[in-house]
Amino acid sequence: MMRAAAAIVGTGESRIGVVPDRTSMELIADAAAQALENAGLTFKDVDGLLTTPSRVEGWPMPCVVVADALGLKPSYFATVDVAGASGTSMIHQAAMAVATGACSTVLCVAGQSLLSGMSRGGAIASMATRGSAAHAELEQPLGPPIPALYALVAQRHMHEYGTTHEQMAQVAVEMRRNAGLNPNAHMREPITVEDVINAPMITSPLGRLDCSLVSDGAGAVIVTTPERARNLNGQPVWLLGAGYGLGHAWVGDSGSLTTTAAVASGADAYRGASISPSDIDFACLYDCFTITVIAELEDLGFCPKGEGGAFVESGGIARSGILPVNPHGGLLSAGHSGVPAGIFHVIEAARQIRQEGGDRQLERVSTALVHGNGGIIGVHCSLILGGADAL
Amino acid sequence: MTVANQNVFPTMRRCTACGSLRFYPKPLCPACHDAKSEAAQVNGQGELYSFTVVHRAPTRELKAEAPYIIALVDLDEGVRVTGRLIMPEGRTPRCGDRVRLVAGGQSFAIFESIDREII
Ligand SMILES: [Zn+2]
Repeated sequence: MMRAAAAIVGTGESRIGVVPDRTSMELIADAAAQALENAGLTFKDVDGLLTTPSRVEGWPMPCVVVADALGLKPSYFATVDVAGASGTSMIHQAAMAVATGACSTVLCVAGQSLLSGMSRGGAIASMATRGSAAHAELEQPLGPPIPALYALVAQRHMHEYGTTHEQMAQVAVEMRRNAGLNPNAHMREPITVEDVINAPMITSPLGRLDCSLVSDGAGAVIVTTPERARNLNGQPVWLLGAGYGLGHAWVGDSGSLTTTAAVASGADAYRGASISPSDIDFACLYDCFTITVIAELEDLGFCPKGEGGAFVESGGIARSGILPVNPHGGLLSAGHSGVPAGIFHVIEAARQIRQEGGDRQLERVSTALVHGNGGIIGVHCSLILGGADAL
Repeated sequence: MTVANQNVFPTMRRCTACGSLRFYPKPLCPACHDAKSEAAQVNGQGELYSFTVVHRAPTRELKAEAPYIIALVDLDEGVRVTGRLIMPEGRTPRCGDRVRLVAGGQSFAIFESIDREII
């Protein structure tokens, strides 16, 4: 796809965290309405719809159910189902849809009442059994909660590269510090490396604070054509590059668990944007677990292989660091409502580029990398977004 | 390993075209896409690729078993398998440990560490 063939022109979030008074569909409607208002558009302008599956609701044909609830009769609609990579993938799919003329304005919206609708324990049990990321016959019977499957990645990374739990903990500390500046974040109380190390062990080496939250929440992003984007009031955020990487479907059927297919997704995204990692001002990286961020930093080219832990430890991903990561606080602290939550990384990148970051606005925001990771670090979709000065 | 373990990996197949082993059930060989395969036996010994000790089990039934160790084992025949790992009291596994199959069922292999507790 051509560079800047589509643009993000609006973003919206429901309340995120503990939102017992809103159903999954109401969260989705809240996010969609806010994104359209942010874009200066209305539901009447939407002719494309993308969404993700909902664990809580288990809707059949989710894109049809969501379109119906929002009163939409779009000329293009699909459900994007690549787990944690769905948030970034929806943006790429939307851009392809407008670039081919299938439609002109796509509402990408996803969310669910994961915490209030299921309870924290119920969501964790559901993710370990029904539609689990673990293979139904060969992995599920062994009894891994999702964190155990990522713990396999962490353990091997520690073995191969000497990565420490303290370095992983620093990821959680930075995410919490960032969330402190985000009024819509789920968890905002600062934590220390010691807090992360001393938190209850879930599945070695990952403790409770190494794991993403279980939250309620929905997010929405409006993607449209360059022509329409230029005629709206806000600053367009251009899709400059995108790439996918497929490593494996099942964690036990993998090759290396420490070098992931984010290498491929990142390389394709950089090539499309004609830039390199050193041109990226800040990144929004899928942070389902602390180790995920360390692997992504390496595989997306922000530091050499094996040095992700040291990169984090030296302050590299802090707001003041050479690559600020997830200024909103990420899945670890801003909120995680399951598969839909990958869209929050896109929303934050677009808000920063549009200077809508409020108290957490970064200074250098010309070009951002957004990365979604799905399955057990097996499925990847990277985006490079930029403002007018990145064109 | 002995005869008792020959059926422990019922899904283990060998591609009759290229000889590749596969543990995860697939209709086509991941290496050459050939559809024909035959049941294969492995000796059940290998190296611990990674592991995790699960302290917080996800379901009520599993909570009674915790803590338990989930392991990825690279068998000597060159194929990775998933299983549980049992360790002697007070010993911690390490990636790279030699392990062997001690028991298993339809899709549930149990490994133990070979060398370190013998030393
Ligand atoms: Zn073959």
